[in-house]
Amino acid sequence: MNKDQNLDTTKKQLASDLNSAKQSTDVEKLREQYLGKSSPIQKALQNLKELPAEERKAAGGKLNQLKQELETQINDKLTALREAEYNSRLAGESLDLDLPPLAASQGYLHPVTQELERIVDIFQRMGFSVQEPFMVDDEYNTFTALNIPEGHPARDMWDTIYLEDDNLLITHTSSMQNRVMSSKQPPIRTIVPGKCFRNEATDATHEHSFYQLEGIYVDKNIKLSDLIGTLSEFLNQYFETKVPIKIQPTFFPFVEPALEIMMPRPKLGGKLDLENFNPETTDWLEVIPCGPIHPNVLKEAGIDATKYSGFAWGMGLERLIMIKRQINDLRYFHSGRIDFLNQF
Amino acid sequence: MLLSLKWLQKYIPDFQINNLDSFRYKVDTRLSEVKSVEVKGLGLEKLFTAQILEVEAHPKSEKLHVCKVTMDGKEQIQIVCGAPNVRPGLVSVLCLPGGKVYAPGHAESGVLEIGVRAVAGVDSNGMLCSTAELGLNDHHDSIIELPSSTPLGEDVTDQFLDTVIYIENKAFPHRPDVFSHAGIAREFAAIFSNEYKGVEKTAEFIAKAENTLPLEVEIKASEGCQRFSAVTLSDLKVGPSPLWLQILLNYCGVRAINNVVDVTNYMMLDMGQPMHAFDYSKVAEHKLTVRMARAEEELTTLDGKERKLSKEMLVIADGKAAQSIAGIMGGASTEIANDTQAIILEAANWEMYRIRRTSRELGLRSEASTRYEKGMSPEYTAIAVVKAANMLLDLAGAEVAGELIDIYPEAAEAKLIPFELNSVAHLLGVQIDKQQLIDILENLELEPQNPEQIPADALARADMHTELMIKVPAHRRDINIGADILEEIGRYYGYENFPLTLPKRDLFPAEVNKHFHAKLELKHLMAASGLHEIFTYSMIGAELLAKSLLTPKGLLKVVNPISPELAFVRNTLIPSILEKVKVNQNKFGTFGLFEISQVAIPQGGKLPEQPAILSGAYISEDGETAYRHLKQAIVSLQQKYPGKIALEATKNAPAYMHPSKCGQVTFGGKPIGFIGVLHPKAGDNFEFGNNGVAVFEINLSEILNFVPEVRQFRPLAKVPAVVRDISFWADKGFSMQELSTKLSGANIPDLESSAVLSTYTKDAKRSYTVRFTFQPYDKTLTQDEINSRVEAINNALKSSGYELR
Repeated sequence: MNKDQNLDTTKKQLASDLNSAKQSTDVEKLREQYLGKSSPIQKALQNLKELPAEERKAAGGKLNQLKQELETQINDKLTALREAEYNSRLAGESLDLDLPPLAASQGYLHPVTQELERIVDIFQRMGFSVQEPFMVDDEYNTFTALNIPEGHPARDMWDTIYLEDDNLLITHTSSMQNRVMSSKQPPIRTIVPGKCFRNEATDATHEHSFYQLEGIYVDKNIKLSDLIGTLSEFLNQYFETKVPIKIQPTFFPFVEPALEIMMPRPKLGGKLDLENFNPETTDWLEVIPCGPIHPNVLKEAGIDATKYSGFAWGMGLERLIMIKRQINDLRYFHSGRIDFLNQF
Repeated sequence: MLLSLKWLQKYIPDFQINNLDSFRYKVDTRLSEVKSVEVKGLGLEKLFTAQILEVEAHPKSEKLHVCKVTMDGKEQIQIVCGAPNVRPGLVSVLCLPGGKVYAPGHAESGVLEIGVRAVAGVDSNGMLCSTAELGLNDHHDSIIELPSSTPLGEDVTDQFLDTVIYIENKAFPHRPDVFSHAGIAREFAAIFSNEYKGVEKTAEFIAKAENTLPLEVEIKASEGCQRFSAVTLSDLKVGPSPLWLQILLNYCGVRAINNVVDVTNYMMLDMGQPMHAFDYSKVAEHKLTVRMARAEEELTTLDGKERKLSKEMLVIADGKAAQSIAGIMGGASTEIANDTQAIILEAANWEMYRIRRTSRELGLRSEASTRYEKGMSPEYTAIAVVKAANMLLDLAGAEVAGELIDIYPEAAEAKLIPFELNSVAHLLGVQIDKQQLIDILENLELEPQNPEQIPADALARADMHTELMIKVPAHRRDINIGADILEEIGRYYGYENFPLTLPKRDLFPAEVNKHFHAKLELKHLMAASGLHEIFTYSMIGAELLAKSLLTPKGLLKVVNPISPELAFVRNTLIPSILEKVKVNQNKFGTFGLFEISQVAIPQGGKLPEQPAILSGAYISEDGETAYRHLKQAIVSLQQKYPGKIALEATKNAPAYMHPSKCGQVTFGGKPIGFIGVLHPKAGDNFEFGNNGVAVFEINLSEILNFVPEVRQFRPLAKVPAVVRDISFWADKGFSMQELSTKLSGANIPDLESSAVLSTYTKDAKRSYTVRFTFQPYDKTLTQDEINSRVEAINNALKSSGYELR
């Protein structure tokens, strides 16, 4: 028997069988018939080892080529039939938009939304108004206007996600500082809550997407002690108790000096241990990076730094919520899991 | 940054850590966070210097050697050792029986007691130690090597005792001056009021060779190199560093390599000045040139990697080619080898921006580049070269073979910064007396030029202007304006001593951000409609888009994506929400999700358009049921914005929607989004199985910009309403909107509202029941009146082709 001829007829036979297939299920049956375990081609492949070595390679090559060709034929037909099936199904269906709605039980608000409302409420009572950032912003507003010149090592402090249009996904909501300060006359009291982005790998304590709340205060006679007093009062309000603080120097180019306000790690249940409190032995957590606004940043926004002074801060919302609610993994916030949402 | 207490004490001899908690608190609050304080060398016992005299093969093991070791040059001790570097003449550290070394992983305590024991049948009377066993690093393959001049039999156990302080350096991107023991010691001296012995300003070579080795230095790119100091050394012998130096370097996280490299690293950790040593014999024409790299010039760096340079990069070249990437890393071809006899010691100062750019472009950071890119002071290059040469004289027998070359065209000078005294009260908000202020400044080497002008009570009198001129030493490159001096005063005064004050303000209420609050209200409305609020990523990948029958075409692309799943900025929330529906499907079955988020739509402007989008999805037993649940969200919106929001059939369904199960949502007649059933192909892609999923997406711009009128009261009716439910068959589909138009055309009196109440399907025929409400104001409808109104409705229905039931 001429093998080549045999193979050729297989192809023709399949083509004709496929031609008469009407549904995708028919094609699946043909796949089993032509390529399944007991198909002639599989048997031929199994029988290869009985051939003499010199013939084996050529015969095997031919068989595999045929197998591939059959697969392609089958897949093409299957795609075409499925597409047609979707189309005929779609054409036959319709929806009454006017059907009355069905009620469901109340949904849960994301914990960041819930806590943001509380935080915004506290600052609004203090006289701050809200401004929202752009998700995509330019280098000028994100860095240059904030005393971070191009090429300065301070730019390495943020792993930035850059975009093809020469903009970036904001690394902090400080991106609104220059706009807020150059569009308003002091006194300026503004908070900027928004989503920020960093180019970093995600784990229990790191997320490339997170929420930050920036605050800006500019007026005459604003002192560093006002900054400490204001943010300390915020923590008292937010945690509904007197929160002890510790202040550590750090570095951010847009404030001078840069400070990190810290609070004690709460005990299990979220309560602060205020009895036997010893600042030197307490386990402190960084919560609010802040500082008096750098004179260069005020000047860049057209504010006379000899007349006015101010302070700014930028706190991570998830971090605050994690401390308050004892959440141990940052990744849950973007997990979309209802069993996370329904706890709050 | 790791710091050795012993090393710090070189500069602050009186410094001790008496109370660990208060030490940490003080350094945390005045300098930077203390990450850890670790006492090193605890538990080690009976460690002696010893020399190997003979090495024989072990009778039973190919790996092991039987060594004859001596501690006094006479008595021989038999030691079995597996290290490949044992050889006659090698001086190392021997742990005698009864002594202890570190054995990470071997024993629970981490310490191993050494005894006399047989190793594969041969007695071993102690142990020759690796650097891992001595607690220096984690290299345990070979035993530690010491200079052959080391005195034998010396008990070196106590040399390992030290305290290593780990200080967080993220607070110092602007402070190259603290990246050294001298720098941190200066800060500690100010914090703890210790006496500080600074780095000497000048030093002399101790001895010079008779024969000189010529060296020519040329600076061709002077804008990138502020100072260049170098000297040649001859007659040196490369070998291991003495134990004290190996311990110090390793404790500070730098691996000891050989005496020449170790001395350059020592200088960097000691005074902060990075250095480099070239093998003199390999420097062509005995000439070093600072120049820009040539286009495509190549250099293999010390880490063995071949680097392609660009014309923007600064190099140190010899007579032929680049031999070092300036300020970042030396080249392999002039590296110090074991047989090197003559070297060039070099220390220079490089322009910070160029160092950072080159380091980023090459993806190459080093201890040196970390310091240079912060803008180092140039004042220490010459002194570092002289001190390193003198150390090598001692440690490697080197001789100085030439004059010190020091090219320093423009010397850095101390700056004079004007400082307004009352800013302490105005901007810090604290009251400091004159002496306290002077003490703080002087501890930091900041010198007020006219201290006599400080009135004793000046700082309490905020209205008085006194300008002090303050001299700032060259190493404080970060202090340039009054605010920088205020920072120094603030942190050394102690932030915990600041009063907690609140700003005074007028009683104007804060402006309300209507968009922000409207979005919050919408979130509450969506939750009340039965949807859970989720947050999803704003970046999306081609795969998730494809599952939703979308493509990345037209999306803003990320230049440096974290992963392919985050390669584009999304313009729809639907794919991300569907993904989260899948996450919850198994556990929760029937539920709905929503999100409000900005998206980016490139428009050719400077910034893309970034509208807020509200999207939701509902999963249920079939598409229609899912739709009816999700529709509650639209009905809630209709209630919130009466008369504004309508739902109408559309043929332009988005790709992810079922083309004939999709409605368009309009606001004041303008299309703002879609609601409908998910395309079955997308449903199959997400593997929702037999469940039906409905989705909606609405651009919120119109809604957020809408300013509603104040709703006006309408008098309540004085007579009861009449309600009639009418059922009919509608084989070719039914549109409430069409019927409403028809009914208003028919002008039926008192008809207040009409809405679908229920539907019913039998034998592929569909019946609708619509509720009609008639509300006259003050005259009760008679039966005849009701009948005639119902008749009018029936006629309207019939004329639309519906069959009354």
